[in-house]
Amino acid sequence: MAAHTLNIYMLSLGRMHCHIYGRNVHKALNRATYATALSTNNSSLNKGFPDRGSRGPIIRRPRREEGEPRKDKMPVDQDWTAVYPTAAPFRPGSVPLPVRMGFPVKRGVPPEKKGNLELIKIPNFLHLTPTAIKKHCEAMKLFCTEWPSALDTNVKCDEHFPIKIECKDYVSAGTSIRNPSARIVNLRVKLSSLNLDDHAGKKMAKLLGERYYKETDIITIITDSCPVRQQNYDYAMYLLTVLYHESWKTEAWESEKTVADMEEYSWEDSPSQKNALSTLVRMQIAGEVEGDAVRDKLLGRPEVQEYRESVIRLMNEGESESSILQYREAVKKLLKL
Amino acid sequence: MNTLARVGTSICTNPETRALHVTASCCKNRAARIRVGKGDRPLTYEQALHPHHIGHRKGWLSQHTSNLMGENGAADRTVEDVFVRRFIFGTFHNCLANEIVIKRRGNMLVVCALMLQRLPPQKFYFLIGYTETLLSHFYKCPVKMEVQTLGDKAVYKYL
Repeated sequence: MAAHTLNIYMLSLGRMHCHIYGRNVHKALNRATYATALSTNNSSLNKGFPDRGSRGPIIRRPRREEGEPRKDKMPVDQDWTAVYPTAAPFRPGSVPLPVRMGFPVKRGVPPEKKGNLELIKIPNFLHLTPTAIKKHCEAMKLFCTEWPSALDTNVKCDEHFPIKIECKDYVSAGTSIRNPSARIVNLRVKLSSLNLDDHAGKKMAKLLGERYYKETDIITIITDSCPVRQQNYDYAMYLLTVLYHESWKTEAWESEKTVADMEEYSWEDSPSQKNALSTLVRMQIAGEVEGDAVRDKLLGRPEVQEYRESVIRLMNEGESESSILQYREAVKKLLKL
Repeated sequence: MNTLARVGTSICTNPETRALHVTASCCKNRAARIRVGKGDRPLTYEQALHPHHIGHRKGWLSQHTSNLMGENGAADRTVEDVFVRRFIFGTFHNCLANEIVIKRRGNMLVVCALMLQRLPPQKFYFLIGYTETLLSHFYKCPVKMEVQTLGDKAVYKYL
């Protein structure tokens, strides 16, 4: 004990005075402390190990044997959801199957599952057995609400909820939940479910351009110009409102609508009508003066009406077997062939 | 031979100077390949198969969604992976039997490691807890370690 205190005193002395006496004295003092330290250590049990001070000698516990792997203690009718309750990597000691994975060595077999990294790398679905999924469903039922029984057909859903909004949420693996594509809002509504008359409907279709698909009568508005989804939704609803109100208004320049702007073909005042009437008039008894009354009488005739129907059908619907046949019949009747 | 040149910025901006910087040559046909030797060197499956076998005979050591089309964050995840591998290699010095597999499930980082039974279990528990806590605080996400221990490395072949 005395030697111990002397050690400390000499060490502190050495450090305090080394700057006065110079390096040699410091070395001498250090050598002295080193020598005394060695002498105390020789008597301890741990030879070659650093001095553990007051902690005592290192106790060597005998190495424990590893226990039996779990797969050897599994009954056949066990609850597998207890072995793999959540997504976990493959544990060879917990899975009682003799799986092998890997490219076999020449004249060999694929490596076994013990220590097999390939089996750990792949995602496994051992936690998603049918029993486990049933348990998940039972647990989730508490949080679910029934679908309203009044909305059992698509037609009813469209009738009560004509506007359909589609937004996407993205999940990815990483520390950030943000995804810029989540701000896109897709608004779909049928033109026929909006309260528009003939002129308003046509104007709306013209304003929408390619956003209106005529075959299904659906307006699609996709907004992604704002950074936040709420803003994009508000903008889409605003666009719909504005389009609706604008299409009801009639501007002064809309009266300048020409034949080229018309969406549908109309037979009145068309070259087809003029040609047909002039042909019929010429077929009539020559010498009769053409007047409005004659034209109206000709227009009223059923063959002319049939011809009108067939031409309108051809122009609006395009050429098909039945429409061309109809046109043929109408022309034959008109020209009395 | 591929010689990678790194350019210093101060040389770049100064128009009157020219310099040449070279690194050691890293040939792509020598990467991650242990060459054939006497026949006494044991290799694991991971070491024995060369990088061009990835996708054909080898799986991927790291799994996350950032490498899919249209997804972001691939570079961040890669840097995280590299750090985690070096960290664990250093923490469990001489105890790793094979490469580390890193899986990401949403926000959570799962590190699957195969270890050798070189340390008493208490020290393993401490190191596992230490790694999990430190990495969780560092990356601000839950980090879990799934450790399996083996008696010795699983040898695939000898080269």
